[in-house]
Amino acid sequence: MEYITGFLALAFTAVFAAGSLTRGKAFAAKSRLELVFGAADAAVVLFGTRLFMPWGSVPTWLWLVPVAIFAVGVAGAVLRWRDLPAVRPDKPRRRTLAWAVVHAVVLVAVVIVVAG
Amino acid sequence: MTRSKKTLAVAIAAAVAAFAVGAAAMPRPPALSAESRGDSALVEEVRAVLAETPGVRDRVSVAVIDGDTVREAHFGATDATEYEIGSVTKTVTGSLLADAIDRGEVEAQTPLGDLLELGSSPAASVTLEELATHSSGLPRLAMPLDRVLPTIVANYRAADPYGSTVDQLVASSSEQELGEKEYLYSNLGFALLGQALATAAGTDYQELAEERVFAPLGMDDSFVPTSTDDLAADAPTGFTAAGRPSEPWTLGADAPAGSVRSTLADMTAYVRAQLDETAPGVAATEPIADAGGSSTIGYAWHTTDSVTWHNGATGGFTSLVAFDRDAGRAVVVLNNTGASVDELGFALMEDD
Repeated sequence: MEYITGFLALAFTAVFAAGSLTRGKAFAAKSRLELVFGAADAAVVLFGTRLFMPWGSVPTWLWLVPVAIFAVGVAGAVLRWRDLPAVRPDKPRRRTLAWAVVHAVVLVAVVIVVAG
Repeated sequence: MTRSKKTLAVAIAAAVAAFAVGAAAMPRPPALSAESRGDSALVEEVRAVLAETPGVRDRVSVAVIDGDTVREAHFGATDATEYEIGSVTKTVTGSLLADAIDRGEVEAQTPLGDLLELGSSPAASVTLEELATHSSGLPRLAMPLDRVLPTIVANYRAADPYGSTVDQLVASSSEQELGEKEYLYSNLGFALLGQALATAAGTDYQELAEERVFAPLGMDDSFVPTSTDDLAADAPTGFTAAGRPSEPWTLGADAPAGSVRSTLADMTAYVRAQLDETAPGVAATEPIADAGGSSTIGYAWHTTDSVTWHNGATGGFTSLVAFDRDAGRAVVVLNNTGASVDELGFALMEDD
């Protein structure tokens, strides 16, 4: 069960990297806000993976795989930053910001609960 | 530098910084302590078996008893190092039941409702023997709805998920439906059994274990905490299977199912007394019911082939106690991480 955190780390960092590097419809971030939350989601999952993976049973260097993917995502985010609007223009701004607040609160709550 | 080149440089710098932070945070789980003492051959044997067994290690203490000969191996510990023995505690509770039957305080078929305020609930009809053989039909844990979320959070925080009072334990038990009367490992059952025996004796479980098991066997460093107030400020804690520091488990009213703290010296005395049948309530070791597969069960003690055993696990400790009267051998393994020691313990039982 604990191993699932490793797969989650790979999934979330890959989604973040894809969002920052690609321009297709499927994964590409449509705004700076999406980039920021993609990075924050991946960072929180990495945090949980560091805590919950049974590192005595798997090589610790595997940790560097999602970290490297995250780093690639960070590079992509910097490169795309200037080309993106702050928030998606095709969505109601107020609703987007409200969801952003909820999203941030959930991430903070997860960190607090997990870190104890 | 053009703007695109500058942006590229910033991107590369940010990626390198992110990777550096991640690399600096690389997990460093504890490893088996390099500080070893005891029988040199046993030390090497234990080290070799653990090297082949996955899992985080830190402190480990092992005793192998052959008749009058006791060999010990310690990693980062001594025979006085305190460990949580987890569910091995259930064997103490099983011994207390056998002892209470000898004393005439209870009978094997005494209904739980005669000792605890369970009203007309299904749990009231369960007998003490059914509790001791995990065949009461009670579930593994009592999990009232308001405890589900705190329990999940406690598990993830490597904290003690137990901690109810006796009244809360009894109240939640009275709401339980009974399943089939077949083997189903139940911490709830042993918590109730221990509290029922304490009631029958007119004391609490902590005193009962001390007076009837620990004191007669000279287990001076063994005790039953029920809250962190019962622990010394520097009480040892362990690590989860993932290598995170774990909080101590004291279990509250569930203490009879798993809260005993002990040392290798004390547990060696305990298992030797089981081996030579001088332990209080030693009848607990005699198999009387099926425990699934090829195993049978006495009062808590499981028997597989000719080996009678019980293991234990808390958030940050694991343990195994086993003996074989035919072979004259017993083994104690105490460990301060969440990684299992069953493989090590059974390998030592089979060793020539």
